[in-house]
Amino acid sequence: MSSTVLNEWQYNPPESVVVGCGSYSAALASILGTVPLPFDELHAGPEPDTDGSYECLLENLKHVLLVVSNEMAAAETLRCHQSLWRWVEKLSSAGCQHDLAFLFVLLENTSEQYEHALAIGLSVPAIHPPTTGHAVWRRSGSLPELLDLVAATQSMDLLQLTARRAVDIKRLALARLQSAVGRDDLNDLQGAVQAVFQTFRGNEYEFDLFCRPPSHRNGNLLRRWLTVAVTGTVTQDWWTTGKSQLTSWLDERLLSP
Amino acid sequence: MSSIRILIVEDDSQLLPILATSYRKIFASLGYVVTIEQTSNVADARQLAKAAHGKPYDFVSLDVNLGDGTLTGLNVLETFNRFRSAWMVALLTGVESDAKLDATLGRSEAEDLRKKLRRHAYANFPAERLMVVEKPSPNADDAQTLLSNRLIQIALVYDEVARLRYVFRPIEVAGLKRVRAPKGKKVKRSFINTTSVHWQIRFNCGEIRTLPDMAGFQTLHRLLALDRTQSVTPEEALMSEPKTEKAETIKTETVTPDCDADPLATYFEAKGITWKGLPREEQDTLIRAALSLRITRYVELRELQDDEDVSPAEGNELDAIKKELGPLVGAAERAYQSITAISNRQKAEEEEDKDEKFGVAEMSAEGLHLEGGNYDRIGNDRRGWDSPGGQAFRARMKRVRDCLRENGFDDFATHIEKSIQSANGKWSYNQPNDIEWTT
Repeated sequence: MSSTVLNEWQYNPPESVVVGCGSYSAALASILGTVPLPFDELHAGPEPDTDGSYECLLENLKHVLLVVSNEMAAAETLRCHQSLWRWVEKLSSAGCQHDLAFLFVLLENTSEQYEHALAIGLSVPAIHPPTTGHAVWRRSGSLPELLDLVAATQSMDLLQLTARRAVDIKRLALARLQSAVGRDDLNDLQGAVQAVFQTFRGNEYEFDLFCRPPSHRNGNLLRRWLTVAVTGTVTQDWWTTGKSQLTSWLDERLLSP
Repeated sequence: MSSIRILIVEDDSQLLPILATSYRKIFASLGYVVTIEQTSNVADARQLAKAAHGKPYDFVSLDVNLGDGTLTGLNVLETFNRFRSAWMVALLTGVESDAKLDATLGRSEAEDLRKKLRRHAYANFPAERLMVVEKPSPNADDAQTLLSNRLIQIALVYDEVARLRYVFRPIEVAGLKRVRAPKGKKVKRSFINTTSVHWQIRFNCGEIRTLPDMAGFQTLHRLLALDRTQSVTPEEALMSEPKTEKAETIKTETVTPDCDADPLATYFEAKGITWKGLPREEQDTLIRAALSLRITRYVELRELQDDEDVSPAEGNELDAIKKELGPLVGAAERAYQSITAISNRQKAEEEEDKDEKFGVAEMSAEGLHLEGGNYDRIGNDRRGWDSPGGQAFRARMKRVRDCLRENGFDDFATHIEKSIQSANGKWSYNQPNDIEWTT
C-alpha cells in the first residue's frame, strides 16, 4: 500500500476525513488529527491490496470536510462528493449505507448561487444541515463554529441521497434524454429534448451541473443545442451529429443517482 | 421456552396495533416469549436496523409502502440485509389490495409490477429467510379473518424454519493476512483491532463473515466451545455466549475437585484433566505448556499495561495470572523485559508467527477446517483445488439435504442443492432471482 493517506488511516482509522489541496486543507486536517486526501488521489479511488481486496479503514468515519478551492466549479465539487462516496463504499463494511455528515468548506466570497447549485446537485431545495446530511461553511467563520456545524449536521447515507435523486424531475428528464440518445427513435429523442427544455426553462444555467468538464462551456453548448432543437428547423443529419455531441457533453456519473 | 424479538414496521396507524396484538398472541400460542418493538416510518426503521447490527431481530414484519416520498420498505430490507440485523423478514405488500393498480395499468402490467417487487425483494435478502406476503384488501368483508390467517401462516413458517437452524453451522475458518504497522510507529490497539489479522468464518448456509483479530478470536473460542450438534445462525455464532455441557462439567468439577489439595492437581483437574493418573513426563509437559501459555498472556497484558491501554477486565486477568504464577511472577516479568528490549521490527515478526500458529490444532480437533488465504478472492494458482475442508463441507451438505428430505422439506433441500455450489475451489450461495415463495 503505497498511498500515504491509506498508510496513515491504516495506523489510525479516521473519524473525520478532510478532502482538498493546499495549506488550508493541511491545517484543517492537522487540527482534526488526520492527513488531507488530495483531489487527484480522491478521483483515482482507493488503492487495493495486492490481492485486489480493500481493508475497512473508514469503518469509524463520521464526518467529511470537502475544502473547495477557488477554481472549482459546483459541478467539480459534486464530482468530488461522488468520488468520496466511492471511497466509503469500498473502505467501509456498511458501504452505501454508511452514515456520515458532509461539510462543504467554501471560500469567504463564494456566492449564494454556488450553494444553490450544490443543493440542486444533491436534489434538495436547499442545504439544511439537520435534515439533508450536508452543510456549507465559509472560511470566514471560526473553528468552534465549524465544529458546532459538524456536530449539528445530521448523518445520512448514500441510499437516501440516491433515492432522492431517483425521483428528481430534472435528473429524470436528462436521464430520459441520455437513454433516447442511445436508441434510433427520432420521435423519442425529440420528446426527450422537449421534456428537458420544459423542465429546465428559466434555469438553463443548471445544465452545467450535469456536464463533463469544462462544465460551463459544455453547459453552454448544451443550452444552445437544445434551443435550436426545440425552436429551429433541423435536418435528420443535424440530429445524428447532435446525438454524439450530447454524449460528449453530459456526464454520466453526475446523472446517475 | 424460546424467546422471539419482533420489529413491526407499519405506517398505517390502525393496522399497527392490530399487527402487534396478533403477532404477540400467535407467537405466544406457539410457545415463544414475545418482545415487540414497532415503528411507523422509514427513517426510524432504518436506524433501528443499523442499531441492531450484532443483535439481530428474530423476526421483522415490514410494510413495503411506508408513505415516504423517496424510500420504501425495500430500502429498509436492504439495510436489514447489509447490517445482518434480521433473522427472518415478512414483507407485507399492499399490491393485492390496490384495485386501482389493475384498473390503471391493466392486469398483466400490474402482475409484472408485483413480480418486479418480489424480484427486488429476493435480490436484497436471503430467499430462505424472506416471505413476501400480500396484505388482504381492507375493504373485503372478512378482511380481519384473512389477515389473521396470513399472520398465523407467517408465524408457522417462522417456527418451521427456526427448527432448521442447524444448517447454519460454522464449518470453515480461514486466517487472513497480517498487515504491518508503519515503520517507526508505536502500534495502538485500534490498529490491531482493525488491520492486523482478519479471520474468515464460513457457515454451512453459505454465509461468510470476516472479522478483525480480537472479535475473530472471541468468535472462534465461542465456536470451539459449541456442541457440534448444536445449531446456530451466523448471528448467534458471533454474538451469543456458548452454553455447553463441557462448560457445565468443568464447573461441577471445580466445585468438588478430587486432588488432595495439590495446587497443580487442582488447576489441571479444573480444566478436565485427570491429573493423578498421569505419568510424570506427561505431567511435566503439561506444566510447561500451561506455564508457557500463562507467561505469554502475562507478557501481552503487561505490554498493554505499559501502553496504558489495558481494560478493567484485562487488569483483573493480569492480577489473576500473577496470583496463579506465584513465585514465578519474577521470571515472567524478566521474560517481558527481555522481549521489550527486542526491536519493534523483530517484535512484529514474532507476534505474527505466534498469531498464525494460534489455535490450529484446537480448530482441527473440533472439525473446523483451517485454511490460509481468502476464498472470496482466490488466486489463479489455487483454481480447481478442492481442499479437504471442501470435501468435508460437501459431505456435510449432503447429510443436511438428506435430513431435510427425510423430514419432508424437499423444496428447501432442492433450494440448498441449487443455491449452494462450489466452483474453482470457491463455495458460494447463489441467491436465485426467479424464486417466488409466499405463504
